[in-house]
Amino acid sequence: MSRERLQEHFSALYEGTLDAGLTQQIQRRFDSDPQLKEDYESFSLMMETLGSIGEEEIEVPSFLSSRIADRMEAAGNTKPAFSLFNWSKTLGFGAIATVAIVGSVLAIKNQNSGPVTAGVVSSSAPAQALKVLDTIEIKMVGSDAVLNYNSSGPKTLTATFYGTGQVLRKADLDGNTATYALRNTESLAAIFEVDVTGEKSDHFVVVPGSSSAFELQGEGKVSDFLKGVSAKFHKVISIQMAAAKLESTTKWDLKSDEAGAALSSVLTAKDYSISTAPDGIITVEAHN
Amino acid sequence: MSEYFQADNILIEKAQRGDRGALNELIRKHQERAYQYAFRLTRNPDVAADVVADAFVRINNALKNFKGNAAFTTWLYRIITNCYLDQRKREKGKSNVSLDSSYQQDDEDVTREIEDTGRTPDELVERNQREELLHKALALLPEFQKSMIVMYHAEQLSYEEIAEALDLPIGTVKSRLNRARISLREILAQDEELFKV
Repeated sequence: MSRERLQEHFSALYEGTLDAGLTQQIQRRFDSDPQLKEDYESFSLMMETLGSIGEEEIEVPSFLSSRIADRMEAAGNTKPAFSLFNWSKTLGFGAIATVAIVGSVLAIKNQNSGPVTAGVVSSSAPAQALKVLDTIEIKMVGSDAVLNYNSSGPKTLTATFYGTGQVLRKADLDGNTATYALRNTESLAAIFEVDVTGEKSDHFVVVPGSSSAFELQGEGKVSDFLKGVSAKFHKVISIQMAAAKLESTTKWDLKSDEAGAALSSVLTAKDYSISTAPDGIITVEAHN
Repeated sequence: MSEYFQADNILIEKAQRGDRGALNELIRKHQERAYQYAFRLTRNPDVAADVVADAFVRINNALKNFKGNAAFTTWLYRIITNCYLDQRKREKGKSNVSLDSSYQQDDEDVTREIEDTGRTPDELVERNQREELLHKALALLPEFQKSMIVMYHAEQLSYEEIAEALDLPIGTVKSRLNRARISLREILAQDEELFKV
């Protein structure tokens, strides 16, 4: 059999699916044809390298969703309103279609008319019955902090990486729901800022990273303190306060073993309400 | 990252009945995977996004006729492959670009984080160089061969799934894939140093 014909069986030989007779024939040929053997060895090395091309990390660009939406619209379809997760290589913002959860609800002061439910959702409330409109809800689903927003009409939901101002997600909604997992795979805690057009813009979510490092005594911005508490106790903190307050400075000397108490020791009851939901999310709301 | 989506068949049925939300969810569910495949074919984020966008337009247009005999993902691979082939045809019609022009490389792309794989730094460097050469060589393959290589080795589709996606008999897929690999080895043979045992 010619060398070219034998090469046709290289894949099957490498994968071990070649029949015994042909395998033996090729193995014998290797003994007498060093070039063929060398070809097979480099083929095997290439196959091994090919196996690793699937491991390449490919970052999905933030413009993909809008590119698809624009192309759909140009093709004569209604512009779809969907969001892209994986907006960052290291911070996840996952889209979730259905969630069955109860937990804390962070209410927005809705400036439009329409039904609004705000407050803390009872842990016995059936999730399917909940239809909280124009309200940002933060809940735990498994180990993820999940943001849920049901729009009553045209709204734009924007999620920003607090600190850099990088827009992570912008979704145009019109009576539909956006549900995202806020995920942080970095070591340091991160703050997400969530805005809805026409709503008061003072919603933040702190999501811990993998590190729990935090100096128990220190001085810095309120945002640093909140990130530190989130990291130390590995807690998601839902915040409702003006950005200026987050930027104000404070001092801390933590002695408590419990996150809520640690927060209360610095963010006093006179200025803040602090509560912990059954799912573990801590809500910090500044009094205006 | 964990996602919570409804099953494809449910979303497709709803979308076929005109449920825009279901179509949106279907796209949202698959756009990342679609992009990764398209990027592996094009090595260009902008072109890959175009290919994916075109593919979802075609899916939307043809959704009513989708019978569900094959998995949605298989259909998606087929449509992306076709959109990629069409894109390459258009590109070739526009100018005399060579096939390897689709391989875009800059220093940042080549830089990789070194993982703890138990290999020595020299071995890692050599492996990275081999992977880099492999991407260059892949760009020189005919598009159809490249699609098959990417589907099998990067997307990890089975021969059966590739056969379904490309509407070919399994035997043909196997023989064409072998031919593609031999071609790739021949291209790489020009850099024997790194592909010699």
